[in-house]
Amino acid sequence: MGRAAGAAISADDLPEVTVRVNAFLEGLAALDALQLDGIAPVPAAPHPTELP
Amino acid sequence: MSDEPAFATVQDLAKHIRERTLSSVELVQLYLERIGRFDGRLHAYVTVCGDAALTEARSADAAVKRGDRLGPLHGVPIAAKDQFLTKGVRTTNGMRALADFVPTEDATAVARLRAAGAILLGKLNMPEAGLLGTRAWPFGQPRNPWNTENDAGASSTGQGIAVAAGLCAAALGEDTGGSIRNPASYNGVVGVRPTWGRVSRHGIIPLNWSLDTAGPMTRTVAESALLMRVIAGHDLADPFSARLLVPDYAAALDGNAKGIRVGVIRELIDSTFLDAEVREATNAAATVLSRLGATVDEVSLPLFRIAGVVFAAIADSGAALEHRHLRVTAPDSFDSGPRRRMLAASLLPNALSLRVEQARVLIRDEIRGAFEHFDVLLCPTAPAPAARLDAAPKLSWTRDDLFRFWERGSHTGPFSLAAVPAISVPNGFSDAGLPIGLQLAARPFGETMLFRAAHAFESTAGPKVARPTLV
Repeated sequence: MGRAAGAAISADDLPEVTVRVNAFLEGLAALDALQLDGIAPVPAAPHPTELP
Repeated sequence: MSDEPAFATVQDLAKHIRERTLSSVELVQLYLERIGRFDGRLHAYVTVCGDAALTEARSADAAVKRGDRLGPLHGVPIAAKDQFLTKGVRTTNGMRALADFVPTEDATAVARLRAAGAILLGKLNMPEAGLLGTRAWPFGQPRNPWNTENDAGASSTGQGIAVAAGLCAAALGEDTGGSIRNPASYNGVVGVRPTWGRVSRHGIIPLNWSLDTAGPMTRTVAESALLMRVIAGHDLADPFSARLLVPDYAAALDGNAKGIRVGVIRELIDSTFLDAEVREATNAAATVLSRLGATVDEVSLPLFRIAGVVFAAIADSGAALEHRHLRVTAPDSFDSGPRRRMLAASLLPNALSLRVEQARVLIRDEIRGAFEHFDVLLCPTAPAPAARLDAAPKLSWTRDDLFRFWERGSHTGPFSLAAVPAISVPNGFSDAGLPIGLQLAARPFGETMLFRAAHAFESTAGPKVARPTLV
């Protein structure tokens, strides 16, 4: 996965990177409870002409 | 010369300079003297523009004598986060790899401050690439002026310190997920994250293109309102900057909150992570606004509970992308904290990243939907006052460290995800003497409402100009 992402992960970094990826997967499991189907995954940028 | 002018408002300083009761040179000298006296311990500055600032101050004083037309910040010394490009002044973005980088142009926000007459006093410290979790700060460990054993917040760290400690008149910060509001809260100053698109991002070294914003950090709300008017507005160099007129924000500061509908976010008040003193101060602030004529009610925004991790996944992936070249060609140039943070985010599967963006849309809709019933949302800026520096995890972060970190981000990150404006204003102190921040948010481009509510609160409850005792 690291190679595919262009990321060289050293032996020193690997344990913490593993903890971080697993924490992301655990934390983001909460998304399973949301109704996300059909939502266009676009950043929440306001249209420049949006008025107050 | 006394230290008193170091804490005067930007408006008062500009008036004194215009009326020649104080010269810009005297003011720059005062701040340089204070930086020399206190910054060896505080580490607010990465670069101090001593000679250049004095040269600009002499020109400013000469312009006053000639009777030239003067801008609203004429002769006032202001400092900028080291994430903003500054022509002829090195810009490190907090990174060792950029220690010798000297840009050839100013960021638009910096250029607008200069055009209004401001003098660039220096560049301010920040964690590497703006990423919290930097373990060995390349340009010195910043310290909170209220207690130098405590954290000063991030990532507009130097701004919070310099404004609170009277080491500049005001500062320009950058906020991706709380980077202005968090240090504003920890240092007891005012910090504004504008609506995304309200201020040009041109010349900000990016952390995440869809979240980065430039905003002021000051000692009072009125000063932030003035600086916002100076830096806001469309910029051809930033295609996402809004084509909207910039209001006179200061004109709305009438000191009352009559008719403002305030929603107190239940999930952040009820959170088990919330410090008891912060909860008490936040509830007291809601009562103050009610006494000032606001209608205060509770609002439930359940998605705040997951917003911290959603924000982190988006922000960290953006940072990993922005710094990909350096990560690949010179990984050891990064501190291990930011490097590992970016590496982890770069490994998230694309299918998951797209679901995270879908969740962001839901969070945005939930927050913006609340503005159908409320003018302003209210919550603590941070769940606790600044922690001790020796309490921060120094080596490898654990799962629990990360979940705590994301929980903290759930106070400021959601408003970034929703691209709405938010402000942190001082809301008293803990028993240990550390500042507590109150956060208010408004609908997109609702900065006028934000300033009005914050100013009303400040004029009744907040300290006028609180000053830490420096040694």
